[in-house]
Amino acid sequence: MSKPSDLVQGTLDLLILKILALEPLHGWAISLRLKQVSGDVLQVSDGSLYPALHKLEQEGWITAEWKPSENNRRAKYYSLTRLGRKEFQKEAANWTRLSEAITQVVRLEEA
Amino acid sequence: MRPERWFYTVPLRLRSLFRRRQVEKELDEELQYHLERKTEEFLARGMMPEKAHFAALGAMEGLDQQKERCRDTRRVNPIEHFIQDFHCGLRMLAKSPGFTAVAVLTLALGIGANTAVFSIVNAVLLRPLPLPHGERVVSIQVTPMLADETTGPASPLQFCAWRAHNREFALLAAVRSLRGQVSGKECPEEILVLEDDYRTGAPRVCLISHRLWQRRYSEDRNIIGRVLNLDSKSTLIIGVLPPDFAFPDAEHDLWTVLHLNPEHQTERTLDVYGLLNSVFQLRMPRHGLLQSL
Repeated sequence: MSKPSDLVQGTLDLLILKILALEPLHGWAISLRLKQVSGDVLQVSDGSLYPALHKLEQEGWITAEWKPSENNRRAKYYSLTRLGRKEFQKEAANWTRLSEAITQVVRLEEA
Repeated sequence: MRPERWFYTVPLRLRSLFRRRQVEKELDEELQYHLERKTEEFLARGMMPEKAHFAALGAMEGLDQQKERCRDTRRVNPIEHFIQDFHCGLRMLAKSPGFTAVAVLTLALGIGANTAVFSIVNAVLLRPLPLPHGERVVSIQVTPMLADETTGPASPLQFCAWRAHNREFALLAAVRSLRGQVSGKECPEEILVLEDDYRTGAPRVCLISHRLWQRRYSEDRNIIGRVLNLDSKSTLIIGVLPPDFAFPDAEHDLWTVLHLNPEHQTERTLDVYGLLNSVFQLRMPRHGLLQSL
């Protein structure tokens, strides 16, 4: 069995977009939310979260803003742009299609 | 779709390029924040402070690697790397002035020589002659059978014979450049004269350069029809040429008709030009007219 941190390529982007679609968050909160919602099955390493965030920002899908955080320190909050919302819908549909197809294959009864 | 994307991405790229320090500071602050929260988490689990710090660093899988990966997403890294390489190159050059001087000198000479050669090639080969049917105009030179004579101008005798038997050229013209003395009301002066338009019994007329018109005749608007004395022969001025006219070069000031002296029939003084009937003749073997004489 492969390590749970071996995310399918592109999946991390989809997860981040989904989490940010709910509310704007800073990097640390996103990492907590990832662990929380995936029930520790998907472990995103702290390191790879930031390059992914920066990539999405450079694509224009999310945008960043510096705001005081819950412990009164300045933190970089990310939120979804209109483009990001469209991208999320596209990627989510893709993911559903792909996972359904794979599920069907896996469930094939042996003859 | 695209312009909407640029709305987000263009300011980011510009910021990455021109506010680099600020962008770096923010990257540092963002990761530092994460690191501190992670450390707090480990502390809360009862770790020793120092151990917690290292555990948090370990969870980041290398702070500097992550920063570099974030920088890679900015899409302006190639430009930044180029600027860094450029600065490095300048520093290396400054370190060894002797080598730099030799390299710069080599480049300068190389570029200079190339420019010079190209100027000639451009003027001689590439730029068409500023004449109607310039591609059909050729210069004709005499290559004598005798070894002690050189290739070059033709004699009046040769030119007249060519004219008489010519079938290949629509036009044949001979010119001769010489120093002439102009006199008249103004003081005499010596100028370069070009003689052409050879016809027996042609009237003595001339065209003068814009320069001569300004210098000698103070831009006299009634110049046409005046008579000047060229080598003590009265010559009628029939026109002033534009300032940029130069044939065969800019040194010449007066163009008049060619009068051949019967006593110098075999002296090779004439530069001969011809207008070919067709440009395809240039590719054919050249015999006929010219060889037979």
